Amino acid sequence: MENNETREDSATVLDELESLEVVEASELEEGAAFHAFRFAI
Amino acid sequence: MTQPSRTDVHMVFPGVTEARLFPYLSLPMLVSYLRDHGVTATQTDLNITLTHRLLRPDALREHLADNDFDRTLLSFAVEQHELLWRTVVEKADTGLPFDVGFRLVSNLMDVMLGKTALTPPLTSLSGALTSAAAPANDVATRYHDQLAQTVVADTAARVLGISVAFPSQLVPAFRLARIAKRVAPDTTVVLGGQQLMLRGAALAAQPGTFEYVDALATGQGEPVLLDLGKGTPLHSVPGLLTAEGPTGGAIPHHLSRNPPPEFDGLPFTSYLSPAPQLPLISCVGCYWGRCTFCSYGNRSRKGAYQQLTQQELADHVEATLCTTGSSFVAFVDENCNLRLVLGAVELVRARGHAFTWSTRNRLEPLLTDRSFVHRMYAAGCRLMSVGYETNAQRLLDAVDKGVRADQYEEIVALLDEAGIVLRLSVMGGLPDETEREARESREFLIRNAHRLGIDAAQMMIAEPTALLVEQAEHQGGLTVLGAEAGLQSNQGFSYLSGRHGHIIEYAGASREERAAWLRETVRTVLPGKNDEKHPRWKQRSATATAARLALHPWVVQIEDTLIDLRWRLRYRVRREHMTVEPPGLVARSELGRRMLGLFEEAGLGNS
Repeated sequence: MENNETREDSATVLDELESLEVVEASELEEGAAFHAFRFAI
Repeated sequence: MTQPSRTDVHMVFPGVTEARLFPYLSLPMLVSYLRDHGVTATQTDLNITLTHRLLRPDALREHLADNDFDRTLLSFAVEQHELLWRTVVEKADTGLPFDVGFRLVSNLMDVMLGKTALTPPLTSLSGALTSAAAPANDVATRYHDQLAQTVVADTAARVLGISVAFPSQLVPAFRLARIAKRVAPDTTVVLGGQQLMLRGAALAAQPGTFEYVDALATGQGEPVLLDLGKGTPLHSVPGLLTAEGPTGGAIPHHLSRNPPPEFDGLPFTSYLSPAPQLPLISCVGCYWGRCTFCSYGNRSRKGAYQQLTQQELADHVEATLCTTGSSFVAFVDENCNLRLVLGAVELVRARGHAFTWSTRNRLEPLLTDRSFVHRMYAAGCRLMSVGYETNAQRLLDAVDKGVRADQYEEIVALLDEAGIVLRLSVMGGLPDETEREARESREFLIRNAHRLGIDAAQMMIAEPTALLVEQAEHQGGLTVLGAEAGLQSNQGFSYLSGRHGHIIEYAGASREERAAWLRETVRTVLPGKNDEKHPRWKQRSATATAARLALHPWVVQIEDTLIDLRWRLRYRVRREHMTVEPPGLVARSELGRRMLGLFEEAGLGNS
């Protein structure tokens, strides 16, 4: 994946799903760093 | 009739940690050393044993979930137990992608082990001791205690050595010690490992410590366990802290006296990495040994750094490749001496062994040498784990990291060019860091995101024995509080809060503000070299649409909600734009087609 743009230039899948109000907001903040990064295999 | 002779020493790696990918190396190293010196020694990894036990349907059924997500995950795991076990533990080709199975198992362990007597928040050492005596009112703790009793009773060792590598193991370690004293009162129980090197004296000063254990070993375990294994009375073994005080200075030990580690007794092929990984070390400590935030470094600079020769390391690699059948070596040094490791690997390959390997090191000047980097790849290096704190030279110099920020971009590009995956552990909260420097550090990661992966994001912790804690001259820009103020950790960033240390108070922006800078890095850097990508890290396709979507088995629809058990995300089914037609969803509008296209990109199903 070429990915040298900032989020201001190019939104992620989750960004657009959030804007469409289909992601439960409460899921997004708590422990996001932890759940996204942990145990990269 | 003669009684069967007792095992001299049994070593245990206690729960509860994320170290489930391959065996923690301390046990196999100590066991092989003891056997080599005529002491009978065996080993148990209670952490992976507990993981395997909690994955069984009877344990999963017993757990009472307190929310929809946990309940759905547990039901799925009970129904699909065989599939998960065969995929993740047995590495069988089941049709379930390994990375999905692995993530589901990890989530299950979070559910089973969260909020248990084994995993209380650790705010003080005295709290750890108190927690170790808490009743087993939860499923995980009950199974843990049963397993612990079995280990102690079945091995009937004269000495039980418990190796505590991570703070989250302190409570389970003391719990295990307590059980051992109840089941086999004549067993000598000794705690050692990294956490005891950091906190041994502080633990020894806690009231009650020696009600659980006979001794704490705060140095290298080999000489201590050898003496105990040979029957030397506890108080005559140098290098211990006991209820009566220290037993004298530890006997020096050098890594070169260790034979190759022995892994028998551990479920080597059933750890949770996609293929068995063989952990090895080439050194003890860090040859640089000057980074002020690092507890290993300070200990190394007192003359304690040790390394093997290329020949010795090559012999260890060759012997353990043969005994384990592994084809991937994880060099788990604190900081690999890359020339040493590469030379040893080339020796082993010249003897006819093909394998790939990973390293842990800094982004040091040597890695600007293109021919060296390509030589590493040619010799099988595929993964390099590196700590990234900042790209501001001013700050790197302040923490005495000993690397040049102006070489980072070149090194990252060279590793990418060669085919060695770079994985960063990103640290926030450097002393005196300004918001602008934090932003520029993040922008470096954003610019290079396609060339790197990220393993972890965590705030700096002032661990005991780090220069930052021990010498006031390294405390510019912050105040390190005394131990009596309690423990600070990485709650929200690391598993069971990760590292624990002294509380830091920053000049200028607060720790919480600095943590917010780090969270912004997590939010905005989309690492391209992580094997699996959270939907937060996937760039959307502007044109993705789907008329219908078959949901993956791990995405469960309950009324108007889709629960993605893999990424712990919940999505709403907007009925005005889509309908539910098992096994999936059908779009009913243009916007619905877009939503289904994005759902597919988020990994919820196939169109």
